[in-house]
Amino acid sequence: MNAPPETSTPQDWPEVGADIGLRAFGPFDSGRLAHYAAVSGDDNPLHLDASVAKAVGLAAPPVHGMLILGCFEPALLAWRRDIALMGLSAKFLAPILVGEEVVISGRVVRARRVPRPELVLRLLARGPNQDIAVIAEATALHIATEALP
Amino acid sequence: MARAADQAQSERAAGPDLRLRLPPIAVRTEAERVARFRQETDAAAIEGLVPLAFPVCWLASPEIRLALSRAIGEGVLPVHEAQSFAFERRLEIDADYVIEAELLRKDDPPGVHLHAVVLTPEGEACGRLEAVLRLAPIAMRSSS
Repeated sequence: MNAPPETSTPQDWPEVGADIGLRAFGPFDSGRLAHYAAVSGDDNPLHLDASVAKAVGLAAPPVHGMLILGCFEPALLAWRRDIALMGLSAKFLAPILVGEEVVISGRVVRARRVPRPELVLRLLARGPNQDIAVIAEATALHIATEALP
Repeated sequence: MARAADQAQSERAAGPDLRLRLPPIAVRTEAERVARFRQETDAAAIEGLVPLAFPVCWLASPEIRLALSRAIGEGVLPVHEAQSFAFERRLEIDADYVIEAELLRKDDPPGVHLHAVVLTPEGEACGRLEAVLRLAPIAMRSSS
């Protein structure tokens, strides 16, 4: 996909405040972290070795931040399939430890219709006890149905 | 890789904050690796799409790993603090790209900032990514 082609604004284009709903990912067990390490190349022992995690003060290996961040796009596309995520900026605030899951939520904080339909969303990934693990901002453009992969 | 190492070494002495600019690196969105990345991030249902976060896989290329290793140093572990992706055009599956990366090692607080630009082989900009890594000291481990 190149730059998404220009489209007209769909009738149900979200307004500011629109909620993307909740979507759970995980729990992320040690096998899942090993698979992610293999495919991403991020084999930082912090995520794979409990003794290394302990050496930096964690009770268990943390899930790769990028594994969690990678779940934001499917969460958004489960909400609306007619958008293309073009930007994602995140801060990792607290670790999600192996065996835990995250729940992704979000709201539209800016909605444009011209010059082309565009959304800016504030997204959160919460871990156990509703603690915020990742806070992110996403930019998405509308794509026409025929341009969907 | 040796060329990258040489360049990294030459730039290492340039200032108090270590700055490493790597030569362009050829990368590719191999369909099989993209599919595995989609699977691991629960995006398997999104057929035909290169996930926006997929380029993070390219940071594991030998050239960037070597430079990261030099920038990070000994006795600390990198902890991902922030990450961003901003693309003007989405990547296509089974296509060639070029990544140009620059690393900045900061001492106060200890961290490494990585900036990378993704280009087509013809030099058209597709997007950029940025990672901020905090360097966490490793506590002395007991032998038991």
